[in-house]
Amino acid sequence: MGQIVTNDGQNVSGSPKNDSLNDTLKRANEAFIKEQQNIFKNVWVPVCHESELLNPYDFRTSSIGNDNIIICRAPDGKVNALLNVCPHRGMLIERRPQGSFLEGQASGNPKRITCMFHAWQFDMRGNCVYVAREKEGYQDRFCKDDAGLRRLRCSVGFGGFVWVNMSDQPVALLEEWIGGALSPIMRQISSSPLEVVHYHKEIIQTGYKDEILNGLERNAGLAANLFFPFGHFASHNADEKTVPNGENKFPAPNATKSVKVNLFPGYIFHLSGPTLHVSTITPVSQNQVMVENRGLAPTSDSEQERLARSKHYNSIFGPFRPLKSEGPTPNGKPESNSPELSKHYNEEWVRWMEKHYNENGSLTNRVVAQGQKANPNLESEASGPKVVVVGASHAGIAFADKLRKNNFTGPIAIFDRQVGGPMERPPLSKGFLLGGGEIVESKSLLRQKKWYKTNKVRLKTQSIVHSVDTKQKTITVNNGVVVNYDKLVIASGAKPRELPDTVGVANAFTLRQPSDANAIRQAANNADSVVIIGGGYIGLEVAASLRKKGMVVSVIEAAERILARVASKPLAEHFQKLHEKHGVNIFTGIGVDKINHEDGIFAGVVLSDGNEIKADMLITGIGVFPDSKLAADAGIETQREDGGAILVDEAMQTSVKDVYAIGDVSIRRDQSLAVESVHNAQETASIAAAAITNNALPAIQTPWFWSDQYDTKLQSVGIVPVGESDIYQVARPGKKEGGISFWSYRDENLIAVEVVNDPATYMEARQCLDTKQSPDPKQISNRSYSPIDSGGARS
Amino acid sequence: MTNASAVEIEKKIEKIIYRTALALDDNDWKSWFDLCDDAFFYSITSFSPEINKKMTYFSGNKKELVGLMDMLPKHNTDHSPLHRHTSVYTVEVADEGQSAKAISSVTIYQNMLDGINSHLDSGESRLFVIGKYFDEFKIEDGNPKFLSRETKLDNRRLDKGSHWPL
Amino acid sequence: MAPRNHKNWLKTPKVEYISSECYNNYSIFEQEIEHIFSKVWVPMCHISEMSNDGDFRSTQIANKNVVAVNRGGDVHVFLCPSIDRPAGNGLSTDGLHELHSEVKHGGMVWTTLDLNPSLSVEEWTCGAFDCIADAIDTEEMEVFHYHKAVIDTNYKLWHDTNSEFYHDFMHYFNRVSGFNDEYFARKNIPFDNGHVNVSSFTVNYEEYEGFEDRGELSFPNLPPNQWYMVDLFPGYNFNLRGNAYRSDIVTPLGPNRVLIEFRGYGLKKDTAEERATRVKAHNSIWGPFGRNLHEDLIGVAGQGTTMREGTETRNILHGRHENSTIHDEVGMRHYYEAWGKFLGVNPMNPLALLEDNVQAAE
Ligand SMILES: Cc1cc2nc3c(=O)[nH]c(=O)nc-3n(C[C@H](O)[C@H](O)[C@H](O)COP(=O)(O)OP(=O)(O)OC[C@H]3O[C@@H](n4cnc5c(N)ncnc54)[C@H](O)[C@@H]3O)c2cc1C
Ligand code: FES
Ligand SMILES: [Fe+2]
Repeated sequence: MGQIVTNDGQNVSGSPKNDSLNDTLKRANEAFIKEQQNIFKNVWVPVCHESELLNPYDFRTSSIGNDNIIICRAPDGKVNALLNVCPHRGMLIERRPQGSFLEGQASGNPKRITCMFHAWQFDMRGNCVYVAREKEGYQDRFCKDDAGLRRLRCSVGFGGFVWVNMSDQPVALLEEWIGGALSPIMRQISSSPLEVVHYHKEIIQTGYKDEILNGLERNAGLAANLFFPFGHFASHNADEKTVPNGENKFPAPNATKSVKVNLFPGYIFHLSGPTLHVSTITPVSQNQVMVENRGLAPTSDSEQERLARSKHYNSIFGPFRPLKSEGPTPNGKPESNSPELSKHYNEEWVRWMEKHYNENGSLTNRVVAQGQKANPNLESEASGPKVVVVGASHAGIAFADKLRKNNFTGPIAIFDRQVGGPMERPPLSKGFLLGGGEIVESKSLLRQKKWYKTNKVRLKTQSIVHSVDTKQKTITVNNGVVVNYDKLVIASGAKPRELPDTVGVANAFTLRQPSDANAIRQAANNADSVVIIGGGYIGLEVAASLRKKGMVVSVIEAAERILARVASKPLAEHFQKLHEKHGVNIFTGIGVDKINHEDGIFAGVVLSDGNEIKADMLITGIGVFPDSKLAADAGIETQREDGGAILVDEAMQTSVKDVYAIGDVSIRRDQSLAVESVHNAQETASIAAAAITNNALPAIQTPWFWSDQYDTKLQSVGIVPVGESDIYQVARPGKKEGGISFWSYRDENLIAVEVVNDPATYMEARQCLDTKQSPDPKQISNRSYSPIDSGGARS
Repeated sequence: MTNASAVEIEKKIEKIIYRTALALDDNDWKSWFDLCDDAFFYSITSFSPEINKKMTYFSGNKKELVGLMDMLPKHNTDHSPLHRHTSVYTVEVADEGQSAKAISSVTIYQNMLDGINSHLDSGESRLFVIGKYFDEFKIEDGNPKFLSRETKLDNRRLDKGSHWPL
Repeated sequence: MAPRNHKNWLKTPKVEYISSECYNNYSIFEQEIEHIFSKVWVPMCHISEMSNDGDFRSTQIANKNVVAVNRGGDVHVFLCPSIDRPAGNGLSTDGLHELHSEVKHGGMVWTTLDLNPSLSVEEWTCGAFDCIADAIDTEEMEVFHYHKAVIDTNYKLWHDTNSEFYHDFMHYFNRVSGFNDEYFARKNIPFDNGHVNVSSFTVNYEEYEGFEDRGELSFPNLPPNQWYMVDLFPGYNFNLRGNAYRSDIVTPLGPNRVLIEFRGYGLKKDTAEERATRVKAHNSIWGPFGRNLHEDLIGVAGQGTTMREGTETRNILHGRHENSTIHDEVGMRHYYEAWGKFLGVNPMNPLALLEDNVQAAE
């Protein structure tokens, strides 16, 4: 201070004279602002913790991407987020970092948010309740009804954090955005109410990105990395054993587990032994970032416990922590993780930066602002109707393929929320689990990269389709990008059922998507034993794969036998023996009473007979349900009001014209039983492709399916109506050693055939069913009897 | 007056200056006023080389000050706490121990709270002003009370300024 | 209507407004330096700050260093790249480029970077000082108060605050004493070149404890307790209130940074007591530890925070109409009309037009 006005111009003006330097600074600043716009104003930011505003009228202020916000608790206890900007002349309404609106401010009244400048006042929800001299100044042209504050999307969750998204149409809802990323610590942070017991901030002279990437080196000691969509990842020290928790639900004061979850673009939840450290970044400039550090502890702590935690916290995260306390890895592993983590982070970063400016141009923002229609990707394509597909898996990709094979020339765009190129699902429970690293073998890709180019199929991954407007014929993707279509094909597939008790437990998985398989594969590399709930195909395949890795495997099936819903009894017995021979413990006719976990990490299950099975990881494979919410929300008819598969006609068209549904999400109105299989995905895809290109609809084939377990290959054709008492099976020895097949009949009529290690017989069985022939059930067990052309036409 | 009692008074004066610093740091106006005689007069001054003059930036007697401090809640104020570092440089006792003068150096820091952009700024400490206290005391029964304080600032750049005496 | 979503928040307001881009865009700032601050008459200091032969006083206008020198009682102003002191005596001006200058309106030293100004100071201010001319030009004045502030806000936001009295809701003293019929009878009067006056009203000082009536000691020819405000484009404010006269002068340092210099004036002939009375009156409101100035500065700093570079563009309402009286925002509307003309932009959408102009020029 006391600075002299008239120096030589450099000191006072703050605007350097050197023009080229000036330009450089300007450009750097523009790049910084772009990041703020593209990334920070679109992601979910944990702005504070609910314990920082405990009572009605309490508030906290913060900022996201240069814009200031107020978080306040309404009288009904709800937490709201508002832009901290006065609608009159833009004054920062609340300047304090924290406080209560119960007391009136100098220019205002109690229970009001008051702008000190001209005394406009607002309630906790952002309604404007007072404009000074309203009528005198604005007559009938403007009134407080026009002066509401800007309300922001705000959710409280994941350990009581307050999450705010500056975008009205976030790429994903909070739960979708975080996905499974916090699951490794979910149990800990949600088991008992937490409060912030430590707060300090640091301004670091480096860009936020560098700060985050530098921090990754410290992850090196945390051996296992898990990758999640949207650039999130988690690392944990699976080696270190945790101290049992006793009654205390939060990690006990002497716990040692360490898990670090990085949420993109820089919000870190670090559970380290007895403490939870959460750091959030706020970029200040291109080369400056503010890091806020919070330490959390259960509200129920005793003084001693608090002290123990605090001590631990300060030694690792406090402002006066000894240097390098997080230093190199306890288990001597090389610091090899950070490149992959950086890559995962950078890829996400590029995606955000490019989405707005390189691919779609600045269109995206304008589309949102003006609510206009736009078609960012399809415009330049060849002529023809525009086809948009939701879901890039077996059904969606097969559909695009068939469409082109039918000489369709219009644009095709496929949107999928998954990360990376679409992969085959079947290998995920099989060979994929035996693989090592995180690298996705290109042989598991549904199509190679080139295919998309050659076939002019636009694939947009990490793109969630949020809604369908069947009247406007548009879908809304991610940030509110609106894409129009002439024909829409919903291939959104199915989602695995979960057991509620497993939600949020670390090392508890379901298996559907490549990312699930990846997580299982990585966890399995650090685990010795696994419990698999569900003795269906997926459960048994996973059992076989993990058994092959030498793990102790237990399969628990509630029904009286395995494969109860999908296979005949003799086949099930065959597989039961197979698994037992390989040393898998199979429990049938028994339920799971309790999921045990230590510090939120899966520890075992308690069966309904009271027995406990301890294990390092859990996989739940208890079936799927159609992912039809998108369609149901758009008013497209589904099996039940609250969901079920999308109902389609024989051309796969839904109840709404020009909207088709295929694959696991769909079911034909005349079909009684859903068949979730690759074959069904492909078949329904060809039907829809034929319908759209006005070709004759292909004939419906008999459903077929396969499964690989150990060295055993099952192929089945037709559907075995399990549970129907008039169905019986006849076994037929295989052509080769170890081969066998089970022929299911109703009366004299062949219904389905299940073939083990006997491809030739499978071909014959398929031919029989396709041509509606029924070989004689009395002779079929005779290996010399040929089932083909044996004269037994089915009725 | 004996040397011993002069030293004692000097000690007391140092103490009262430090106690004042603590009271002011806490915005505890009452405790501050309790240390002041009813005839107390306060001012903040500075010299400007720009206009080549000694200036008074703020002044008031005890009654006026009490009135102003009572009014503070009605004003919109920057509540960032001020924190002084004071060193008593000289104490001169005169009038046979009836009066005294002291000069102290003062550096005042502002610990940002609701300043400008509290999300970034709050919790940060900034240098606010530097200067000297020129104090005069009346001593009755060996107990000093402030008769006047002139806070002589070196600053002429004061940015947002303050509603509080320094 | 309740709280607003993004779309509603950005909706075109039903009343007059300008875009926040006027306050935070770097190109606009550069244009202002080039087309406004390099052209207008600037009151750089007061003659009493350089009363002896050889005295000089320096400042900075549009990033250029400028020095005013007393040469045998006459003021000369020069461009002076190397000046490093705010004031002093005995500066050689050999080889320096002299600028146009005048001493006018209560002894202010005016200069302009425009080498061929088309208007004199009087023509430029065009009557805006008439209302206080008798008070400030009858007796010689002298500066008794100087301090400055550097605030992270746009200079126009400071000038806006000077141009409207609606913000009296922010000042306790004004809130409780001011809002009577007489108060609302005050009017904003626009002048050419974007200047504005606010005419007089009577202040009830008794209602504010700790302040005696200031009626006795007034400025020449000024009825007691009168108040006049002259808001001079693009950012100079002169304010005569009872027995105290003050000015503030902005020097923009960037789109979101401004230097403000505050001065208080008395009459040269003042006795020591008279001077003390004026100083006190000045300080209680406008001193750095006074009641109002602190609040005004918090106000504009708050606006500067929400409108700093990189914040989302939003609409700033200038739409109050109260028959041009005290809470009417007509002063700002008048200002931005002139401002828009200087830059050739529309304040509601300043960047669009800038871009168009660039294209047109190419
Ligand atoms: C581990 C495993 C093993 C299997 N093994 C076999 C086997 O051996 N043989 C066999 O025949 N079948 C097998 N299946 C079943 C088979 O993979 C499925 O039937 C098939 O994948 C169904 O394809 P689909 O395209 O209909 O749906 P899905 O594969 O479920 O794909 C749906 C896609 O839509 C995306 N999506 C959904 N909603 C949205 C939205 N709103 N926005 C953007 N994208 C969205 C999803 O991300 C997903 O990628 C197996 C399945 C699994 C999981
Ligand atoms: S800026 Fe908030 S009331 Fe005027
Ligand atoms: Fe004001």
